[in-house]
Amino acid sequence: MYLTATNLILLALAGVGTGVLGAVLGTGGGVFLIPILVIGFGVPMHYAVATSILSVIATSSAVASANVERGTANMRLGMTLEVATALGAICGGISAAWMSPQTLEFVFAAVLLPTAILMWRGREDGSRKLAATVASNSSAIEGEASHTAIASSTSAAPNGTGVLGGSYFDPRLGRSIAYRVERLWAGLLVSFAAGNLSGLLGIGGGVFKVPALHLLCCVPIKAAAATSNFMIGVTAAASGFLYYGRGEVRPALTAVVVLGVLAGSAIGTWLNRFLAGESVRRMFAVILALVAVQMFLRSWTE
Amino acid sequence: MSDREHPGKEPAAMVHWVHRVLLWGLVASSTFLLIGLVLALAFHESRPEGPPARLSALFAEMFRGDGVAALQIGLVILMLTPVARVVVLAIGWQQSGDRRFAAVAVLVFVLLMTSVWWGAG
Repeated sequence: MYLTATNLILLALAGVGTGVLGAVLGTGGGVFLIPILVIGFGVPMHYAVATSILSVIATSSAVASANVERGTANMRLGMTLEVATALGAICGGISAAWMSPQTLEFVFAAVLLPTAILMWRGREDGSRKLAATVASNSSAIEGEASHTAIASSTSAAPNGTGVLGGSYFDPRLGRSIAYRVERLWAGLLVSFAAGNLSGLLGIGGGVFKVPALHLLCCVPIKAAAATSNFMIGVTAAASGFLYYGRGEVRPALTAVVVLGVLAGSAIGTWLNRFLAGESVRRMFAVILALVAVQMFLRSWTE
Repeated sequence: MSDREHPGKEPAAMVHWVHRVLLWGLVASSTFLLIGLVLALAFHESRPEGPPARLSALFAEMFRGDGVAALQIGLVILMLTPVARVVVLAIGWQQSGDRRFAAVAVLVFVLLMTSVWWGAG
């Protein structure tokens, strides 16, 4: 593919769109970017996967840099799950040997569709009584500076959230949300599978991690998205070095997309402050369904 | 390091360092990518097929005005940014006395490097 002025602009816009979606939904955007590159621009699949992997790193780093300061990204939980993800990435080479990408895509598409339905329906927010405790101390709170005082003054929050739980201030709701992590084993299992898939499919695994964190581990959707975004950079970095070492990263193509992604991530991070958790969850459900359909089609036609 | 708790439970100083490392990594990467892109497109450069050159060779080529070399340096910095984040967290948790999570971060770093070595080997 020759980088004409038109292609440059369109690639950059594809990157921007990927960055916005990735920042809002907690994914790296690879599931959207690869079909765009392959079908829209005729980029060979292995180059598209390599470009996607590096754009996932860009999205993750850009969004995480904001979310860690806001407290929405749970670094303890993210780092714990990254152990499973990294192990999964190492084992990815083994699974690729006995299972074709098409079979893997079919299996995961079969998992994604019911997940999309569950995400659409949602769940009772994992914060439950912890949120009520924090909210009762914050009747007229505005601004993140105040929520720091709340988090430190609310004695229930540190103990009530457990070792891996956390709390964050939601500007849209005007109060802090505290939550406790449950069924960690489920999050570890999904993270392992996501790591396995990352190198194979060129994704960060956010489409699996966010539903798992929210539906199984009871993490509020905004924290689930932020924590997923925090994690996928490491997932992608492991694969990224491999693709780079094999010479499958096309520098100019990847640079244009990455720069677009960075701009889009900034927009998406700003947008996130105003989006309701339910809106994020339902957008994610729609995207999951689209990704599942795409995976089904690819598993049948390739 | 300040003892003021960050809303997410971590020491504020550690959180700020993670933020800075991620931000600096992106700024450095973007700078090289922008410069490299301008040069590569202006002179219609493209990277030859096959594995990339060593980092030291890339710097030498970049200083000779090779835009593709600058692009590759920018992409390497991008890939190293999450790795640097893991290292900062390991140090931060160790310094704040949370050895359990410092050990988790070290484990992630080792697994990450193992994955890179495995693929390269």
